[in-house]
Amino acid sequence: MNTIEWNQTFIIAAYSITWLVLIGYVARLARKGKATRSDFEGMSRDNSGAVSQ
Amino acid sequence: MYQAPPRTSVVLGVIAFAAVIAAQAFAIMTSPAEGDMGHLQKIMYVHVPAAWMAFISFFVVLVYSVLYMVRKRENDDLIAASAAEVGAVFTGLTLALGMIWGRPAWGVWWVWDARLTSTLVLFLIFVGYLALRSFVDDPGQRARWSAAVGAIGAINVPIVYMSVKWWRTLHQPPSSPDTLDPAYTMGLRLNAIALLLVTIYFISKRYEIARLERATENLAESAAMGGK
Repeated sequence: MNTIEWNQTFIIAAYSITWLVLIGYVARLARKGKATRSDFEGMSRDNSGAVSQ
Repeated sequence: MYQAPPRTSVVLGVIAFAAVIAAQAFAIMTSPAEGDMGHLQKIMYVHVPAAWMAFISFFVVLVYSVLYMVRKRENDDLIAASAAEVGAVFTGLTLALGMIWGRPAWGVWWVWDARLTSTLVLFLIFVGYLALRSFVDDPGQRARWSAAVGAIGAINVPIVYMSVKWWRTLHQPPSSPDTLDPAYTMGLRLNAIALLLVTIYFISKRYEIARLERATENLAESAAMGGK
């Protein structure tokens, strides 16, 4: 591979890693948000049941 | 009765990511090959804004850590923690992109010069900050310790920024619209603005989750005390 092709490889790698990190973090937030909301709703239901008893 | 915090706008996320796509497309298509590096210069449009977003995130950590120490408000601690996580993500990305740029430009992936080493130290401090938060169970103690580590850690930011001026380094001086050829200025500005939108989205989304986690902890605590 000549220098220009090598440079293209590095440029593509840089932009790919950027998008991988951005999308990966969005996915992590979505997963964590969903799990936490479900914990919160479950705990709210348990607590209101305990209060009504 | 605890209320779930309002959800972060999905529209903000969509606009932020669309802006990044548009800014990157503009920069790649309009910037000419640079004299020394050729098209490798295009890595600047992701590397430099990522570093700036890390700095901005750690500035938010500093402000809200100090505010927590003064006001003792739980939400200040949660904002600082959210910004610290986002800052750590951008610092990690900056380091990875720097290595990818360094290999063809300098011939090495890594060199222990002042800029790279101080950035690595900054990254490790905030990884430690996040580890500390996961180890400490008591919310008050966690917030106090985090505020101290966050404020001290953020002081490293000006050291990272000034490192290329204070010491002789392989890393070039800071890239900014003032030091750049005008052909590259608009692309850099647009990419920085677009990534700033993404940063705002990330911090507000992480903060929403942090508040929900805290509310769940409070519910668990009150359930353990018999619903009082």
